Amino acid sequence: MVLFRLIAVITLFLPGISICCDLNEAGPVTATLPSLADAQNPRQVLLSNNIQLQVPDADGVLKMHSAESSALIGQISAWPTFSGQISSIKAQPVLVDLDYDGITDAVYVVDVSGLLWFVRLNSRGFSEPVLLADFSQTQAVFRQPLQLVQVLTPNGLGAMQRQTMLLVTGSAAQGDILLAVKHTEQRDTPWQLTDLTDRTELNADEPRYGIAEQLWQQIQQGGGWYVKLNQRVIAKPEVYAGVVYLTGAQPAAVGADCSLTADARSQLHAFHLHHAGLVYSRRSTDISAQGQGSLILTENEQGRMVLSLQHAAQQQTVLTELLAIDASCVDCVTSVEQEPFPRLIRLATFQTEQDAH
Amino acid sequence: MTQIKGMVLILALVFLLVMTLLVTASLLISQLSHKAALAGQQQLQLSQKALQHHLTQTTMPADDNAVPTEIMTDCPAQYAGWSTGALRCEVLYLSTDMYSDNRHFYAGYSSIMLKQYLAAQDN
Repeated sequence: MVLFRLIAVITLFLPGISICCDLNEAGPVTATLPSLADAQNPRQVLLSNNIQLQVPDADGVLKMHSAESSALIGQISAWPTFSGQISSIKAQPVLVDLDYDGITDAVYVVDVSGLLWFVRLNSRGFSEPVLLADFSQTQAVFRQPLQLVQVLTPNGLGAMQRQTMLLVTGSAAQGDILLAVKHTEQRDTPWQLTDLTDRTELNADEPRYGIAEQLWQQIQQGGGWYVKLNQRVIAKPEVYAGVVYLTGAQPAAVGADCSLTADARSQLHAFHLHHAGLVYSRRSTDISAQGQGSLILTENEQGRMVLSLQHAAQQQTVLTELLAIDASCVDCVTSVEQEPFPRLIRLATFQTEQDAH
Repeated sequence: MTQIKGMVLILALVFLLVMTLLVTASLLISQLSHKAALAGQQQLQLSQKALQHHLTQTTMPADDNAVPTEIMTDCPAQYAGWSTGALRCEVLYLSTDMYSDNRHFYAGYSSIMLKQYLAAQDN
C-alpha cells in the first residue's frame, strides 16, 4: 500500500519536475510611482507575486511594498473573476511606462492557468485589474517571466499604430508555447487562443515568397500569434531589432535546474516579431548550449555586434551577422550594422528666434 | 522794374534749391531701398547656410553642441522593437548659431534629437 502511494506521488510529480526550469529572477520587481507628497520626487516600490511572498500554492496575489520601509502599500487578492480568485502568480510581472515620464503606469501579470491581466498603477497603489487575455484552454502552465516590447505596428489600414506587445511562455508536457499578444486599450473582450494565429508550421511557399497577404492581414487584425515549440525554453525570449530570440531543448533533456542532459539538442529560435515568420533563412538552428543562460548582445573582437548566450561567467557566441526587421515591407530585413549604434535620430528642427528682427 | 527783376531772381534761386533738395532726397531713398533689399537677401542666404550647417551637424554623432536634456527610461515605440532595457535612449537638444561677417545678421536653428545606444555600450 505504501509502495503504491509512493508510485502515485512520483507519477503525480514527474510532469511537474519536467516543466520546472525557472527563468524568473529571484527578487521582486521594482517600480517607480509618483510621491504622495511631492510630484517631483518619485518613490520606489517593490511588486511581489506568490513566489516572493512564499505562498506558491495559494490563490493569485500581488502585493506592493515600499522599497524604503517595506510597508505594504497595496495588494490584489480579489480579482474580477466569477469566483474572485485566480491561480497562483509565479511568473515575474512586467512593467510599462506608457508616457515615457519615468513613472510606471501599469503592470502586466499572468497566473499559472494563463489569465493575463493589465493593472494600472496610481500613487496609492493598484487600480482595478483588467483581463487582457485568457489562455487557459492551452492547458499549459504559465510560470515563465513575461517580456514586453513597445512597437509600432501596421493597423491594416496603412497607418502605424502604437501597441504594447507581450511575449508569454506557457509550459506543457510536450513542450512550451510562445504567445505574442497585442494590447490595445480599445478592446473590451479578452483575447482567446483562437484570436491568435497559429504559426507553429510555416506554409511551404513562405520561405520562397514570404508571408501570404491574407495571413498577414489576419495577424494584423487579430490578437497576435503563437508558436508551439515542442521544446522547453531555456533562455528567456529577448527581442532585438524586431527579432524574437530564444533557445530551447527537447523537454526530456531539460532538468529542473535548467541543466541539459548529454544527449540534449539545443536550438536557437529567431522569429519575426510581428508575424513569427522567417528573418534568417531558417527559424531555428542547432547550437551547443550548456544549459540555462541569457541571450545578450555583445561586441566581438572585430567590434561587430553578435548575439551571445551568457551562462554564469561564460559567454558563447551563438549568432553573428545580426538582422533587423524593416517596415518597408512585411518580410524586409536589413543588417543591424547598417545603422551603427549609437544612432542619432532627428525628431524636429525649428528656427531659433532671438530678440526682434 | 529793378525790384521785379530781383524778385524773379530770388524765386528762381528758391526753385533751384527746392529741386536740388528733391533730387538729393530721392537719390538717398533709392540707395536705402537698395540696401534694404540686399539685407533681406543676405538674411535669407545666411539662414540657408545656417540650416545646411545645422543639418550636417545632426548627422554627425558625438557632437559637442549636443546637450543631453533627458535620459528616457524606455525608448519610444518602433517597428523593429527591442526588449525593455536592451536599448537606451536620450533626448538631446542641438542648436547652431551663425552670424554674418559684419555681425549685422543672425540665423539659428535648433533640433530635438533622439540618441539610441545599446545597453551593452553603456560603460
